[in-house]
Amino acid sequence: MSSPIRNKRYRIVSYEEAIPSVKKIYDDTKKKFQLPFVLNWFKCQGDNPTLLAGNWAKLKSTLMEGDIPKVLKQLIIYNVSKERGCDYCSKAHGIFVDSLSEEISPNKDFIVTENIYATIIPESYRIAVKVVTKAALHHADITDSDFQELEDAGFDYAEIQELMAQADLANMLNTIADISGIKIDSELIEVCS
Amino acid sequence: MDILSTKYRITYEAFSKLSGRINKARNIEELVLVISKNLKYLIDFRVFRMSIVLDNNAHSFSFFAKNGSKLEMNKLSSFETNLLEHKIPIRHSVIPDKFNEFIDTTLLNNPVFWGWFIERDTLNISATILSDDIKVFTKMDIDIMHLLVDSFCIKYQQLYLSKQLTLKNKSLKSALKLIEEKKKEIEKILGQQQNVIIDKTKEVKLKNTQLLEISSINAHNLREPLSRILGLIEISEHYNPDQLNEHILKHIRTSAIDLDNVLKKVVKKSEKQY
Repeated sequence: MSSPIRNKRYRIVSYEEAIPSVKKIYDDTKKKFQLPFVLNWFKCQGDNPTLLAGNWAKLKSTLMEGDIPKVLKQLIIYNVSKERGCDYCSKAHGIFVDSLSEEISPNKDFIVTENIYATIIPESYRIAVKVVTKAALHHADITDSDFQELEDAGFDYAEIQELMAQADLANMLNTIADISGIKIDSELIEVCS
Repeated sequence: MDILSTKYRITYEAFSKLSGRINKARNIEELVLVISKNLKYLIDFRVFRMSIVLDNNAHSFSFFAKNGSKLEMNKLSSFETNLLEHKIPIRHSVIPDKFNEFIDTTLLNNPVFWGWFIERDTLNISATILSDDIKVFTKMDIDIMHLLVDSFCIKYQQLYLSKQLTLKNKSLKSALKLIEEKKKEIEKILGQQQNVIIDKTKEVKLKNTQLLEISSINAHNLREPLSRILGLIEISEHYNPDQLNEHILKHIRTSAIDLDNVLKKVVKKSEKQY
């Protein structure tokens, strides 16, 4: 059994010390993310099974399920986290964009919404990343023309709702990651190195 | 890692999702909807058009960047006829008039028109794309476009043939139903004719019986008074006129009346019968 990791703010509850209901959620996260370990973002919520269950349900249905490609959703979460300066989420979701972090991270100037990758990322992705990042960081500034831009890019109503849901998901992910003070998972770095 | 690999990494999930949805499409309408909804995750374009020659008919599908699609039958444009005939790819800035039906081409920034001939088993396909500086289609997208055309056309052929088969089955079923109805009609007519034959046979049998009866009357009832008359005539030679008048004529009259009665009976029976 590994010794519990102490954290100044939220306690990191390891798989071994988790109660059965929390263990069940941990297992589900491993299955869904196809990872052999539990991410710190979940482990830091292991002391409150109710909140963990709710937050996992939100994350799962918003990010892991639906019609929009996961890579686009991960790009959105990555971009919001990077622009907000959430270290944990920008690193984790950069890795999740199918190891795109190798392309993205070394380039300090890379901003998905700009045109560096204009020829390789379809325009629909770039517009979605741009508009949803705005919704996450400056939701009061969102206008009808932002919605029109998404429609013009070919997204229908259901897809637009699914895209916008990434904004509040990113905010939840960033908030919990930042206030809990968690660090990027060493296992995640190892798996992807 | 080169740019192309990165592009494939980005679009891999979208393409794999699209392939799954193409496979699951249960009819042509669903297939077109799946393509229309997912193209934006794979390539940038203003209009993407595929024309498939199948069963000597041209099936054309136009997809628009702003979602939506249009299906046309036997409406090949001259650029498509040329592509299908000469099989030489196209890339130039002269936009065929056909695209004005779908989009205001004057609003495009540096439009580019692309075209390819693609041959898949028994299918001849023309794939064309209209792009511009905003919706940029590049050489890097050609492989993805070819994969997409492959998946779409194979599924479309499968759904089309299955639809044709269903239609043929339907028309066979209705022909079978018609045959069944005609068979029933014939059976009914045959049944009616059989009844007529039975009735007629009964009638003939009855007439035969009546004829036999008449013959029997002829044989017995007529013979008896007639024999009596002949016998009386025979013995009349041995009687004088007074004796004849007293003993024989009286009996001849009685026998003649009997004969007359029998004849009347026969006539009456015959009249009854006919």
